[in-house]
Amino acid sequence: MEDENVQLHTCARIHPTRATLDRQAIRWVSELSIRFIYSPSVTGAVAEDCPPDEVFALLDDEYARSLLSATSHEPMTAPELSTQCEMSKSTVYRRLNKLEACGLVRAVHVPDPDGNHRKRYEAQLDELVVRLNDGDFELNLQTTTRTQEFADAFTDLWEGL
Amino acid sequence: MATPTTLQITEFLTVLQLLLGLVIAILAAYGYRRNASRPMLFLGVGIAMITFVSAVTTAVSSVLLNVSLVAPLSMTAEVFGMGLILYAVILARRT
Repeated sequence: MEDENVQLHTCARIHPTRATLDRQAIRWVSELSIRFIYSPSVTGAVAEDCPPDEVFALLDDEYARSLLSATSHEPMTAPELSTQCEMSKSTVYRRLNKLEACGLVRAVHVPDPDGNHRKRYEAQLDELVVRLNDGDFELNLQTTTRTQEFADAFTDLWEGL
Repeated sequence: MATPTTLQITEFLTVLQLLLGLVIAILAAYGYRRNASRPMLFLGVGIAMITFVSAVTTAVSSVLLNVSLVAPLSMTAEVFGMGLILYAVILARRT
C-alpha cells in the first residue's frame, strides 16, 4: 500500500536524461520566442473562477498532486503523463481539466521537433496562500513569474551539464 | 545624423555588453535563490565579472588611473570571472 503512494508522489523524473535536456533546451528557446511574441495568449486562467472547495479537493486528490509535481519539472503532454504517472488517460484528462480551470496548470502550445503542435501542460502553481479573513477563506495563487521561470530553466540547463 | 565613429560604436557595444551581462547574472541569481543551487551563484558572479565588472573597471580606471593600468585591471576581473565559471562547472557535476 505504502509503495503505491510513493510511486504516485514521485512520478516526476528528478534527474532528466540527456535526450530530455536537449528537448528542454529546444523547448526553452522556442518558448522564449513564443512568449515574447504571443505573450497575451500564454497567460493561464486565474484562480478566481474556482471556489476554494474545488482547489482543496484537487490538492487532496493524490492523482492531481502527482500530475502537479510531474508537470512542475517540465511541460508534458497528457499521453506522456499517463505513461509516466501510470494513470489512465481519462483520469489524466479529467484531472488536467479541473486543474486548468482552477489555474493550477497551464496548457502551452509548443511545436515538437517533428513539427506537431501538441498541448503541453505545465504546473503554474508556485505558492498557494490560504487566508482566513472574517470567516471567509481567501485563496491567493501565486504563479511563477516569467523571470522566475527563466531563472529556473537556466538552473536546469546548467545543472544538467 | 552623422555616421557614428568607431569610438561611439565601441562605447555603445560596451554598454550593451554591460546590460546583457547584468540580465544574465540576475537570472542566475534568481536561480540560485529559488533552487538553492550553488553552481548558479558562481556562474552568475562569474558572468557578471567578465561583462559588467570588466566594463565598469575599464570605464572607471580609464578616467581615474594611468592608461597603462586599464587593461591589466579589467583583464584581472575577466580572468577571475572565468575562474568562477569554471568552478561553477566543477560544482555542477552530478556526483
